[in-house]
Amino acid sequence: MANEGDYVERFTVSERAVHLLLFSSLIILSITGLTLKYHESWFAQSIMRLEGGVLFRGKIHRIAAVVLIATFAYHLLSIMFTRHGRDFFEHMIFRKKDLIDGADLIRYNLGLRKEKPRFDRFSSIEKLQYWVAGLAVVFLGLSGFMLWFETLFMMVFPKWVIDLNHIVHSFEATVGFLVLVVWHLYNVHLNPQAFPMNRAWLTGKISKEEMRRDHPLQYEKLFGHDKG
Amino acid sequence: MCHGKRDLRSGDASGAVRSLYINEETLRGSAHGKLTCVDCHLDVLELPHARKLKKVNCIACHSKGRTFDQGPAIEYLIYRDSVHAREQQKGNPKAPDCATCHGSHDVLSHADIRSRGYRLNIPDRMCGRCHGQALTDYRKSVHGKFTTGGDVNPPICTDCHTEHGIRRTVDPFSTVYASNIVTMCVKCHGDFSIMRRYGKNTEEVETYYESFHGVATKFGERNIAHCVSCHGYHAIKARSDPTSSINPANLPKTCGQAKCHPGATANFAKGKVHVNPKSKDSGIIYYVSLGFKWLTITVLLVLFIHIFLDFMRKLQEKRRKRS
Repeated sequence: MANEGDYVERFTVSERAVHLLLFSSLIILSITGLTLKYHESWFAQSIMRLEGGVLFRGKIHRIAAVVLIATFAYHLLSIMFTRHGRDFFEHMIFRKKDLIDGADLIRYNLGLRKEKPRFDRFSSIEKLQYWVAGLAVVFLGLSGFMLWFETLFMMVFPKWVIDLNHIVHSFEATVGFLVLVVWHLYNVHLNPQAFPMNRAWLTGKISKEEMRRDHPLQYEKLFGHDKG
Repeated sequence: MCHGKRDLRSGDASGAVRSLYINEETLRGSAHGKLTCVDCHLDVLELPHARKLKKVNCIACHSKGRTFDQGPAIEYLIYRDSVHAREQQKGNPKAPDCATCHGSHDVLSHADIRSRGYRLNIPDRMCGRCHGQALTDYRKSVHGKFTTGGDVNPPICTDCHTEHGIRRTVDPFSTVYASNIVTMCVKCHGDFSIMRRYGKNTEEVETYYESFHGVATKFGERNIAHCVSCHGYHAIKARSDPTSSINPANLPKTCGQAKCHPGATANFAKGKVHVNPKSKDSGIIYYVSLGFKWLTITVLLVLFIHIFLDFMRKLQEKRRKRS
């Protein structure tokens, strides 16, 4: 990893580009999706009345979905076939330590533990978000695909399966949206240590101080105990 | 008088014979009973009168304020833009004018049960005289069966098509234009006090509006399923009727219309159509919806608690660092 003064690279250009595509498509998906789900609301009405109405909104939603799935496919290929990707994936896998660390984190936040659990490159929270988001993309992609080609799927499955699929897609997407907006935003941007914004997603860099505080195991692997 | 003779007839060049007999009792019992012949037949100036008389101009009397120069009655103005009037202007001999529907020498008030304009008589004695197929279909329908039995609540022809402003279905101003259909059916099917009398409620309307078809229709899309697309227009029948377009055996054909979901199979019928996720009789749909609702609430609660605790702890750390 490149060393530039007090900073270490945390996200490569490729990773930052993937993240950018990810959140851009997710924003568009959320807007176009929520306007259909909550079509009675004032913001939905104003969006729907734009040129093209309901059906155009649907086209935009599907274009953004294709972008998301392509980005996801690219990510999958990178974690399978690039060295950096495989390394990234190794650090994202849930291990027993993460469960212990997770429980310790709760105790720490409740004031029952003096020291913060010591994380490696990715904390339990970050890992949880990665897996939740990844699984959501897979399931929403599949159910979205069934909604896209509704006539075809309705010919094959009984109608109640299609109705169920509709409910699952609609609710899961809403939960995902809320988790992203509420949790991810707080964890990465709005929490007191990161406020006003953690810029790693833009610059790709993390300061050594921050690494020592939030990812001490990684810090130790890179710089050893003494530089503490 | 001459026209009181039963055998008074006229024949024209083509050989067609027309009866010129007027039953005086009928005339005297009608809404025009107190009038004399020349009150309407204004071009009869001497007797015997000319062979060819002009058609009676109803709006000579039936105008606003009852004097001709104030303009014709609103019904006539509405009629003038209708498909019937336009066909008449084109010279279509079958196109109706005032007398065709209301009669000439036998006009009775619509409140009069003998009148052809009386609500329950309209389908057979007014519209059905020309629109035979529509009448046959209507009589086979749920609406038609009830009105045959004397129920005045279900719709008759004029409830959907209006009396004077009848326009083609492709005319955007028609009450039966695609975009206007739903609003029209909702007038009764969205009114709980009417539906309650038949043991129904307004759920179909609400579930339609929540469905993708309903949302799209509400936002002005025209090539989307509306009430008529599935239920038909004149021959609307109950689901249990084997000839109904919404009978589960027939649904694949109904859903599979060329413009909609061609290739529809029997699977289309395996599940409630007007499905309401909030109603227990939607079965699994209801339970999964409910589950998701609680999942969302729980997840949000957990997240907020975590955020709160994390926030407090981080603030504490920040303060500690400063001191």
